[in-house]
Amino acid sequence: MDLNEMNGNWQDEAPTLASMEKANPFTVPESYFAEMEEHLRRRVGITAFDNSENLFTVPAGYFEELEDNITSAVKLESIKNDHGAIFTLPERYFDSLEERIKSRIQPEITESEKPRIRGIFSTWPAYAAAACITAIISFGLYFNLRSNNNTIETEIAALPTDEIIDYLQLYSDAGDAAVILENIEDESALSQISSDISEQEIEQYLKLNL
Amino acid sequence: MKQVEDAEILEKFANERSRNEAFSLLVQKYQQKVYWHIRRMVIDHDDTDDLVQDTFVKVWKYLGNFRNDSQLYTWIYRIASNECITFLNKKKQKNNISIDEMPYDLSDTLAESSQISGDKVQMKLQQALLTLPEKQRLVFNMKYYDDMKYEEISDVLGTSVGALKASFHIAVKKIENYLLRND
Repeated sequence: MDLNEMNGNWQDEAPTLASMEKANPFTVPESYFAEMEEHLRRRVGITAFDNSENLFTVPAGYFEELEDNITSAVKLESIKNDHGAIFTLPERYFDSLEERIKSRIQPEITESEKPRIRGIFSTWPAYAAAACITAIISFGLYFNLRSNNNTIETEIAALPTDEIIDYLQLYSDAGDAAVILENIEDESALSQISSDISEQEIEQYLKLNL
Repeated sequence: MKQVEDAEILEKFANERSRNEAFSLLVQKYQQKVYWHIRRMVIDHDDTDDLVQDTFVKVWKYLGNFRNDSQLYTWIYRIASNECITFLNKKKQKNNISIDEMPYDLSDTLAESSQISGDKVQMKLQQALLTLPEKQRLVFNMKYYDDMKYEEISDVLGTSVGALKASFHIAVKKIENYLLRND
């Protein structure tokens, strides 16, 4: 069969199909098509509004009062302009105004434009005095500190060994033991101390302080 | 109600101030055609609803690019047909269904759907249609239900008129045989 002839005569070749009514077996939910546009608008993101309606509103009676409002505004403007005519000026006032102002401020400008020379030598006594004071204070502090250090060391050196040992026995604790041992120079002194103190006393001391 | 011309829809779309009106006209004119075109292919109403929305979203998105070298409604049908084919392919992949099994899956949907009238003859015709390959079903539906010319179907599917005639002829023979076998 020629393909061009297929268009019209399919009913002859398919009589069962041709005898069937072209009906739609499918149904849709109620008001589905009525609501479709709104659903699609939400999907597409279009805001629904009617272009035929004016989105802007005016106060009630706006257009009725508009002519009067404009007339009043024009009158007010003309009155404002007329106020300028109440006051008068001397003839050619503004022509000479600039010159007159210049002549007033000229002496002040001349005075303010004079260069002010500050001599560098006018301030040197102040700087010299400050330097002297600083030097005196610095030397005083330095020598004071040195003399204090010397006094403490000298006084410690002058103390008898027995007094130092007594002081340490009274006030030292377990934490001082390492320092004491490090600073023992004379072993004979240690043996002397050991002979003066009984073993029992040493044990008691260790129990209390270690 | 007077059917609005496509040219008027496009004219209103081109103007920013009347674009909103163009959307209403577009949907009102094509919502039923698009819906039934898709419904006959995917059977289920909810699936159809999704695809109808996707179709109109695409139509609206690309309407600015539409050129008058084809008719607006064949362009819309092309988008709707592509949505159907893409959906059915995805469904096959998702459910791991082979091409041979697809008609049975849609047939189950047809049998189980609550949105189907109880007309047994029409149900049998739909069962017969589901035995056709998808593209052949598209051709049959557009020719049989929508009374479209082969030239218009050619615009939609991008297939030659001769191939479409042959496809429709074969489809008719298959359906006739199915109806006779299941009488």
